[in-house]
Amino acid sequence: MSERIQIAELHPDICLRTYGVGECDAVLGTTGQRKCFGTRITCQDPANYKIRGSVAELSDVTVTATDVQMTGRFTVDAWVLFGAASGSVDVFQACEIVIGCAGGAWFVEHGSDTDALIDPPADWFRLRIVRDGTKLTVYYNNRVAGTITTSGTYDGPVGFDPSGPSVSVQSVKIWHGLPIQRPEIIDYLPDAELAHHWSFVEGTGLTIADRRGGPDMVAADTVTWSDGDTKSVNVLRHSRNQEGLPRINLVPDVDDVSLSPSRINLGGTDATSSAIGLRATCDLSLLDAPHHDRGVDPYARERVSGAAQADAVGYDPNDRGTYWTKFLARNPYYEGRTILIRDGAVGDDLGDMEVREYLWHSLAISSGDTVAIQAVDVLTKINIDAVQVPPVSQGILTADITSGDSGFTLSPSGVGATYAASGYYTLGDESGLFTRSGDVITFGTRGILGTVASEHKAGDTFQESLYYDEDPTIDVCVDLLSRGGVPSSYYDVDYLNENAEQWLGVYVVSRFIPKPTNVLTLFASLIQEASCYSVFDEQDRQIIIDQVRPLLPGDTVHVFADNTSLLKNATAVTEKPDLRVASVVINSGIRSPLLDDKRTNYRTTQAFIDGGAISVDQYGGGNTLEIFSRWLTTADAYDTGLRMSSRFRDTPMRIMFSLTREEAEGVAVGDICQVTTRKRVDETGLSEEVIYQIIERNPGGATVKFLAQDYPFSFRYGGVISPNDAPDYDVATTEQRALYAYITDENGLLPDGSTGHVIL
Amino acid sequence: MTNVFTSPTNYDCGNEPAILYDNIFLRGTVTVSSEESAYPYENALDGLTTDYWQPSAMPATFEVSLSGSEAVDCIGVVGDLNGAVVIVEYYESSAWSAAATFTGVTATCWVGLFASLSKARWRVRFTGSTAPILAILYLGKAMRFERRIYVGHSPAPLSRITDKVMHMNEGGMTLGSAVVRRGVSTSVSVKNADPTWYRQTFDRFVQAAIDTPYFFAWRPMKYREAMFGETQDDIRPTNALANGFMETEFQIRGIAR
Repeated sequence: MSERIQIAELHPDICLRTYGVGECDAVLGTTGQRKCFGTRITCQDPANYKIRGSVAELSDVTVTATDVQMTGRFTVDAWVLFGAASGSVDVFQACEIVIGCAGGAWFVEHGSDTDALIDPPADWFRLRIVRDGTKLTVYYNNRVAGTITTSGTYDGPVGFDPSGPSVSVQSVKIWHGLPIQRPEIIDYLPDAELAHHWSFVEGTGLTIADRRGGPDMVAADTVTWSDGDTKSVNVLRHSRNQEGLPRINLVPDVDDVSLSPSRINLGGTDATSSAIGLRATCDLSLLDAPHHDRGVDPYARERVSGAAQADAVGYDPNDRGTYWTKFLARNPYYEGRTILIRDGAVGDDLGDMEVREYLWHSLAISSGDTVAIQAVDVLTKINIDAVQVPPVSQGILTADITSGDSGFTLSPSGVGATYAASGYYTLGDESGLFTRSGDVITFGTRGILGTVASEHKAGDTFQESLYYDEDPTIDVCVDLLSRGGVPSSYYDVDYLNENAEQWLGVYVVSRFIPKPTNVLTLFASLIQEASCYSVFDEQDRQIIIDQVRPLLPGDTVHVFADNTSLLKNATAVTEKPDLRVASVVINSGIRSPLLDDKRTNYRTTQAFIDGGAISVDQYGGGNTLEIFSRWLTTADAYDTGLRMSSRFRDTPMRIMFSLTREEAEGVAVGDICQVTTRKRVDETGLSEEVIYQIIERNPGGATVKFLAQDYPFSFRYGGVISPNDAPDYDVATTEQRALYAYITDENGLLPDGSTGHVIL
Repeated sequence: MTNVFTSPTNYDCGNEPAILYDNIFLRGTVTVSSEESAYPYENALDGLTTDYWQPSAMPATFEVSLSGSEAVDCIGVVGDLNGAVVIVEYYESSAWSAAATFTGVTATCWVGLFASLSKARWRVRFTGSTAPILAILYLGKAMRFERRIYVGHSPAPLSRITDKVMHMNEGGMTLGSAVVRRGVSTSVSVKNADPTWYRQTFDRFVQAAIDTPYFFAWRPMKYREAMFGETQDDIRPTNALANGFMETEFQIRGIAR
């Protein structure tokens, strides 16, 4: 039996400072004044409002807290940036655990136990050391960096010894009793489990206080301080009114949580959604009621005593307004803030629960004292924000220019600083290269990429353009996401590159973007043209980018069947004839990026028509998918067309099924599964084992619903060269036939009549 | 599960139903020995079972100074004691003395009954290695019914409200079930109540029950079962007999473990 609980966790901003203390110079001196509520709109002076911590840059500086003890199961969590290391140096120490670098190879060490670590990321990352039993694991963000088996004491200094590389740090925490595997939940656990927290918010000086009252970190020399980028948030947790909730402060006002999952659009063939599929949304329905403000208002106790009011007259916050009316008055800037939905069972630690992440979109208080909150996934956020790249340029011509002029001066004065020192431009219907000094533009080559130099009038906008020139697909995807304002924590560049290596390894893309264009539109077109799919997995909180590709030997396939895990009366099979593609037409070699998508604007048009599929013997016709590729070379466009026509030549079938939450654990959107059900049989009526790709995962209520689509390819790919003693095809086992590539006859057929492998 | 305790263990608290709605912590000056910043002591006094007080060090005390002596014979707790021993103490002659001690309590919703004492300064002391985390702490004088409840009553801890979804696979095999516990619910029938008792004693509870949750133990000595809950509708009596005896019935919904 599983007993489910669900917690909605809201993260509005909250000021790091304390009213009237230290750098906050607010004073209760005027009649009617009151202490702030820790929020921007209630702050008396915006200069006092601070939500971003500080960064301590440590170069040749040792910073340690002495006499720290770590006991039992613990987690050390630090938000750091390591510089390049050389020689043999210790970099970070947590009691007797040391992370360092020797001869360019990173290691973790505890006593005589040591293990190599993978190289740390070149950007800011979460360094975690998790001890569970005798196993000590080091993580960089979500990835295991190394593991040692060790025991003994953990009693000593904690800190940094960057005698080699420089280190930047924003926070170090130590949790006792919790071996935390998922970094993203660390900030949101109750303070009671936090043993030490050096938050590096000081911004000045040599001492970093332990906010839990333990030993301070002290720098042996000067520390360079700068502004950090991690925000301080208030963690407000809401749940349904039920038994078995964890012992943490909760407001039991949740009436309903409705999650609409994201859905993959394989190959962009589903016209009912964009090339990057359907977005995930979360709809919360809550009940409004009076509230005491504890846990919300940092000065709740002083409101009652009167110490928070200039007139010293106290009041009971429970007697004024309701939870959500007060929230809205104090937090009008909730849009874009994080909402987490935690799903778990009674008895689960908060850190063990499934977490889904959304961004707050809207809040409405109805006449019936119910509150509706809608949140969306991060890709929807950048669409809603209508982020464009390149950004709109503000500079204009001060005077007319001719087709032969070599440069001009931008207006208004000073606008030149908003342009790069050199790059690409678009001016009317002309594109080219430029360099800049102050407000003065000097043309390089005028009239490139199918455009011609022409005359232009005073007041014409000089638009800086963006050019991706033979860049790897993943690099461009990541750049677009970054320009769209998607935080880097939402995508793992190393993991995406690893994933892309098999099929996108030599894929490079080029595109000239002359004028501001919606980032999501660019991203979606690239995804489709590169024969990929993308989805935001709100559970892993990662943007997935993967290829539409054949099953490879060694791919994980989840197995479900009627007599095992498929829940009763929840399985349905649907044919999707609208997704079948009888022919793919792909246009490449764009003549001018300033012109619209018509065949006349492209040099090459390639058609992939499956004659068998459109013959009267088979489907007798079908849809044409036409792609105007602004990203691909003609050769790569061929690969995309071939892959798309193979993948979608037959009518795709979709299957809907449900699993218990326990069975659904570890099954993610994008995964491959094999389903055997009486709803899909062979010609004799026997249930078939059919391979599908999961395109949607809906964690509604007590069960998890899945939507999956057929995973057939009409050609075989992905075989390995067999060893010398492997048998011939006709006597090989099923497993050998699936694994090895075999030479076909002159008709491309294997001895059993099936199609052989195709070399791409 | 036993969740009514007496101190000492052989103290005879009788079997008349007991309701603890009174809480002296709401009438005096409260001080606590310590508290975690996210778990202030007010959370244990607000009647909500979803916010908590947790001391940051052990042993811990939760103390109240009253303007005058008040009778106390009952403690009600919702939360995890985490192995702590609970000692109810009063201050007299410059020293603290124990009025009741409860050890080995593992229930998360429980009531403790002891001989009544009337003092002006009280505290609850928690000893042990791990700090308790408490959603509710009541200390006061339990209201006792005139007579016992007999047949027709559904003991609250046994009267569960549950949402349940059974899972079965396409082949007909059970794959478990999903349960959401919604607490417990019962109704209490008061019959043949003396009109003076009803007006002077019971009606105080009726007024408090409008907005105050309470502990209820239906037969504390014999069946050591209690719940913490609230009444959603007004409690109204009727004159049942010609001699003025009154009767009423009310529903309670809450938690019992």
